[in-house]
Amino acid sequence: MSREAILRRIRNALGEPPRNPRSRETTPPAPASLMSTGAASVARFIAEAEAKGVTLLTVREPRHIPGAVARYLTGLGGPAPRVRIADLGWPDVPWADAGIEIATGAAAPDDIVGISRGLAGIAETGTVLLVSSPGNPTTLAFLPEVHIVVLEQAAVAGTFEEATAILRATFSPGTLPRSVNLISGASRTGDIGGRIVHGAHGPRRLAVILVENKQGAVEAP
Amino acid sequence: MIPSTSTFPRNAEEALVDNRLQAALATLPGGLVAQRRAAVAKVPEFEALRDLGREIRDHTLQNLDGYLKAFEKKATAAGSTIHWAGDAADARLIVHEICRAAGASLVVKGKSMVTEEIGLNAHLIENGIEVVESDLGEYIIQKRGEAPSHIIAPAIHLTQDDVEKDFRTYHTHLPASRLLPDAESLVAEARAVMREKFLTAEVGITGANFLVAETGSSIIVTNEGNGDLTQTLPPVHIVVATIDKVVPTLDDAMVLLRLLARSATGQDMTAYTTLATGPRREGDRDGPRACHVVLIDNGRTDMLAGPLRDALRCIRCGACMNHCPVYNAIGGHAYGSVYPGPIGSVLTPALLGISETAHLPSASTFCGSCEAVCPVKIPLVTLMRTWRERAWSGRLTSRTGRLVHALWGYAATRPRLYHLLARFAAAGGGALGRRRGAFRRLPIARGWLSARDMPAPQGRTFQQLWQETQRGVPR
Repeated sequence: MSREAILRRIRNALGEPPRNPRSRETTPPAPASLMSTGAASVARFIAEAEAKGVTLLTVREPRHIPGAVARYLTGLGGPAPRVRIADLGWPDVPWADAGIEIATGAAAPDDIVGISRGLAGIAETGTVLLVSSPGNPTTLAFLPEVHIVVLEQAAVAGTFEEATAILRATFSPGTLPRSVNLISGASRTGDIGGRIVHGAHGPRRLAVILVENKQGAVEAP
Repeated sequence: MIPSTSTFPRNAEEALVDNRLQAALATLPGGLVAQRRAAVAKVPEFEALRDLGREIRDHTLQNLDGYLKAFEKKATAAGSTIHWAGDAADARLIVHEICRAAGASLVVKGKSMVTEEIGLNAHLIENGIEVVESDLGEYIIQKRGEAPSHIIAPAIHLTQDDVEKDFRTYHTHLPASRLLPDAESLVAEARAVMREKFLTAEVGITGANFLVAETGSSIIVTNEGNGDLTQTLPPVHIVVATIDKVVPTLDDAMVLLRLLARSATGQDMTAYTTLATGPRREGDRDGPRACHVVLIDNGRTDMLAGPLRDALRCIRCGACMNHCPVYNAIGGHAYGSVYPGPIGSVLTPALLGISETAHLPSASTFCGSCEAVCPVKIPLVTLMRTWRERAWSGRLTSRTGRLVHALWGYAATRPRLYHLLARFAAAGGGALGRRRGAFRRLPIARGWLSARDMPAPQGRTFQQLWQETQRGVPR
């Protein structure tokens, strides 16, 4: 059965009138209990993410990212291995100073650590939003054992509706990058006896590095 | 062996005495049910959210052709190829042809109920293509040759010991002496086996929780990340979805996602929710080279025309089965259908015809727990009753059952006769059973009394007691 036949069957099943306009222009706002703004959003984002087993690290400036990564990886029990890193958008992040060897591009099957750039955080559920691009390959979030997302603190939104508004403001109307990933904790499964085990197919651990302000940004008076 | 719907009564009896199954099912009330309750309690507006979810789904279904065309336009603009399949056979042919053209010898699959519905795996395997399920639960039951027993927890009928035995049977390339003492070691073994498949498969097939008309995206939710590896690593990605999966906007999808995870597992979000829109873009370092979306009718347009349209609101969370006393007693396999539980008892007769599935709408006490938790407020009891009526008018129920129902109906529609008979039964039953207080045996109720006693009537009917209460007469 062809496209036309299916569409005709739908039309016949629905009958007339052919169009039922929406009774409202836009989706109503998120439930009040899930909303937050400003500093409360950052606090909620951190609390909700930590409740999902995510490690939250806060740094003041981009140049502090390598140190935070090195300390985090050392805390996991080993010296920092080579990390596969997205284009974070800041020049001169001193990886070598922290003793970290970096590689770019898509993740390789034997990569241990992948670092992605987050477009937004969502306080409602402690979720990070990633979009694919040449500089931010999707595989960084799924192939390595440890996934780290770097996110500007100012990019933490309150709700999913605010996150979709960010997507609409960032990309042409009605378009999205190939992959938009909403990530809420590390890979997990409950399929064996109902017990939660992490690292099912994707990363065993997820960390989020919140960057308080951009290098060179002017602080508000 | 996959049981058949036509033998439902026998399947159910066997399930009730299957101790392993009963042990696995016993985890449901303290597991998914309790987790949902806790998650819902954290959102005081959950009831309003359910109403909004219902409104979004109803509006979409009322304008389904328009939103499908909008989705098609956006998805095509993003580089996807859209295919339309009238029924399961069409869909199997389309998917097989894409795989053949891609030169596929290995396909990895994300968890997808519609591919179970259309029998996709068997078709591809018959045509010489290896198909590997990547969701851990689906992987386990695929190895066992079983069907999913739950729509979101397909291996819920199995214990850790079962899985260990299966892995030792099927992963013969690993040393037999290896230790698999816990769930962690089993997950690690499956992860290693699956990695190889992800990296070598030529085609990845996923379902879609939603399709977004605004952007031409498909949305999948997983906790394992298997769906993302499935739709990112192989050179060709095929999305298989029924036409009812479309939603108008990203915001609509977000509302439904809020309902979905809380209703399904009690999470506020699953670990990975992904919007995939077409193949890799210029300069992208990963992602599929080609993306196909197969839109399947397979009975949905028939449902759209009548009362069953309400069932098309379903977002496949599984809450109705988690809360169903019948599902909790017999598990998913006894239903003998792809979709078990209350939603299955509504969908399956629509997909396969009521003549083959007349038992299913009767597999309910009509307690209404399913409706009370459904995130999009599907009137499941009413719809099951609709099927019972069709089974009755199509003379598909048993002769004894029809006789009893006919006699009951005759009396129940004649109040004076009914009261007379009820008084007689209450007084007579009361007199006969007074000494023991209960009956252990009664004519025509042998099955019912095999596991319980029937309390003896106390001498007066409900109507008598009611009238006395209304008149203020003390008992």
